[in-house]
Amino acid sequence: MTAHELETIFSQVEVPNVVEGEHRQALKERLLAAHADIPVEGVHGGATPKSRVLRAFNSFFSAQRRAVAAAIVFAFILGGFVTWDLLNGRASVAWAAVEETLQATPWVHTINKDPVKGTAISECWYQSDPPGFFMSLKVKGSPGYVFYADYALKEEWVYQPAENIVTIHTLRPENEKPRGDLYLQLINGNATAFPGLAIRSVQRGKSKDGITPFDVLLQEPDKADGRKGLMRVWVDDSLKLPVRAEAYDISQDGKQSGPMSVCEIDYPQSGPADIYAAGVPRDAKIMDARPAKDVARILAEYDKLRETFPKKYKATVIINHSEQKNLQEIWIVSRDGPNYHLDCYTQDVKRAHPEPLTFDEARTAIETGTAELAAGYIWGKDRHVSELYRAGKNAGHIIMKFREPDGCPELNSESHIPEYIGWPSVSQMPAKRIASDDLQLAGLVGIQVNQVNLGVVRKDQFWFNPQRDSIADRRVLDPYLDGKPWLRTVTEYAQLPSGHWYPRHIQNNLGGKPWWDIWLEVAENPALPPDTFNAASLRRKADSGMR
Amino acid sequence: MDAEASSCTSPEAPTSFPADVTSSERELVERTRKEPEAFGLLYEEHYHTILNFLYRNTADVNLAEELTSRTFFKALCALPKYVHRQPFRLWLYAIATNEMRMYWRAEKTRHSVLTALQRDVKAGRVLFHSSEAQADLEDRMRRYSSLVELLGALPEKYRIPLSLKYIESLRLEEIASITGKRLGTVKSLVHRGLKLLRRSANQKNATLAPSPHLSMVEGGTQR
Repeated sequence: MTAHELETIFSQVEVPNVVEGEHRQALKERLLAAHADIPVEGVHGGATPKSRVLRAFNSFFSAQRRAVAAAIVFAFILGGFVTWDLLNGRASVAWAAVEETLQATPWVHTINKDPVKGTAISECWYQSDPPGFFMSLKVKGSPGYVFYADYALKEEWVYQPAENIVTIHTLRPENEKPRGDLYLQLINGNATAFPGLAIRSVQRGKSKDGITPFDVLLQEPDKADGRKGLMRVWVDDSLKLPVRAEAYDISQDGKQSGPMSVCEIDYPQSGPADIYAAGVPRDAKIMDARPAKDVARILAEYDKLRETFPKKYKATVIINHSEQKNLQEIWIVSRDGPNYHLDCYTQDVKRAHPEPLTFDEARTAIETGTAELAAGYIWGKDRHVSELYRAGKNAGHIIMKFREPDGCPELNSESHIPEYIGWPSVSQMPAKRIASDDLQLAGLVGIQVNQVNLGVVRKDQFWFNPQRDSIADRRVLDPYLDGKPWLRTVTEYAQLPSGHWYPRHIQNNLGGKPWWDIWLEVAENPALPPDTFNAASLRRKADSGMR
Repeated sequence: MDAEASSCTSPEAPTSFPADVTSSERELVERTRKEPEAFGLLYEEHYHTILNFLYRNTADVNLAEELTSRTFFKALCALPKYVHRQPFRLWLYAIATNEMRMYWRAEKTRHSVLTALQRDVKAGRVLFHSSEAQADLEDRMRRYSSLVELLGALPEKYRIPLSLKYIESLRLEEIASITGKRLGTVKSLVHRGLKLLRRSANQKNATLAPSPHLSMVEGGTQR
């Protein structure tokens, strides 16, 4: 390409023009308002209009200057009390009015930005009536991930751009509450930035240029030392509506973090009519995952039975690995309500054909030190912190903090948490009832879920046992690993004094071969030592030898 | 507004420029010193030019509006220092160019021009006047984006003269006035910039030419 050709191309490329919006008029008004305060050269000695007035005033009343000055001082003091409120913005908008106006607004639109780079991360629209919520993630390529929640129909629509699939399913529990970022952050104090926090106080700042800043302090309800957060909100006095909000975390010692999230807010008269209006291509494949009514009822009951499992127990879990026969894994799990203490021990039994441990043998191995302490977790509602101590070459003590209360993956592990061993999670993907002629499955309730991941469809079959608190008696994930299916079967049940059932033994097979098995023993309402959920005791254990 | 008002700086005076400032503009600027309304007239006259100049160099409507605001606030602040050695329009270009330079230096990351353009066109914030068919529009956006991205990859000293000459269609003398450089220097920068741009286009195999079927239909340029 020659320079001449390039010049020709330059002349051929059409240059776009910006469609002028409100900015033109708004900027003009601001400029003209500012014009009065700009020093002007060559006119009145370059003084501002304000100083010109004062100079004229002073020269005319030069004889009485002192008297006038005294009068001004007197008037200033007298009027000070009146004007103080005005100067401090107290005549500006009140927070209650902001709340009221906000709730009456049909649509709220936010652009959420990276607080460091300032780039847009996501865009949200919140509709108040009927309640709806759209979120479009700003990712490379167009369009990105799009989420739409219809609270009236209790449905959510999710667009996955990589697969070009829209999945429709019932609202998941974490999405059941209306999720306008603004409502949650400002009104309910239940923001994505601050889950579970409520507004504790609101402090209004000084209004300037028609914008009033508010500091909204949020705190965990009913806890003096609970987690705190701060929302700084800028409210347009004339609209009585927030136009910008920033979220800050506040540590226990009162230190304020840098902004965690920043959002710009506006109030359009309308928003996306449907998920397609939010950028989803019309040719996207639809996967309707809304369960049939009977399936929904079965799954709801299944989840409920997991939730109603006793919340105070001490469990011993023994895991035997078929491929590493010498390795035996023992978990001691203590739970009291939201608090968990998990200790994991491993034992290398150097025998040619080790027999699986009995529960008594496992506990003896821990007491005598034959089993080595490998990891442990303290987890509680008050402190979403996981503490891990490790032995061996990588001995050490790691503290992991989680923002979400259910952020610790160990807590819903189907390998060592009794309620999940019995009732492993079922995907929210499409579910249907299935039946079988297999006599081993007689009396069990079958559900099949089709999972799609990177174009591969996996069939998840669950067979619930209605005679045993709907425990998942059998589960098949096909394919699971290297194209082989994973079969998980409860071979033995046990019952607690309260009447609750739990699986005592589970056998896992991969591709028809034994893979690993779980032995579980649960003691209900045990007497737990007082420091069971105290992280300090965990640290002492970690520091004292790391056996 | 405070930030804008407090950061008033006057652009450097141009080194050489033929005094072709019209008497009516001189009169209007003089009135501006006394009457806010006159500044409003100047603003109305030049807002579109400056906004589009900034948009074409940033590919971001919001940013262009922000830089336009800063440009006019700085112009307002610097008005007492303005001398009629160059047209008011070029003086605004000079301020806008400085604003753009400051932005480029602070913001190192570059976004995809085509993606931003598609988004803005879809949102109705940007128009290609001669576009009618969707395929035609896509092609125009692609060509324009390729050109802007190639320009954006050039060093600043070449990028600005090229942008002023070929996107804004300004004369070399006007560019010299805006950039505060001698005419010979500007000619040299444009020449070297084109050379670099050509090399870059060849390396990236950039598709600046219109699609064959569109060329046949259109038969030429539309600006």
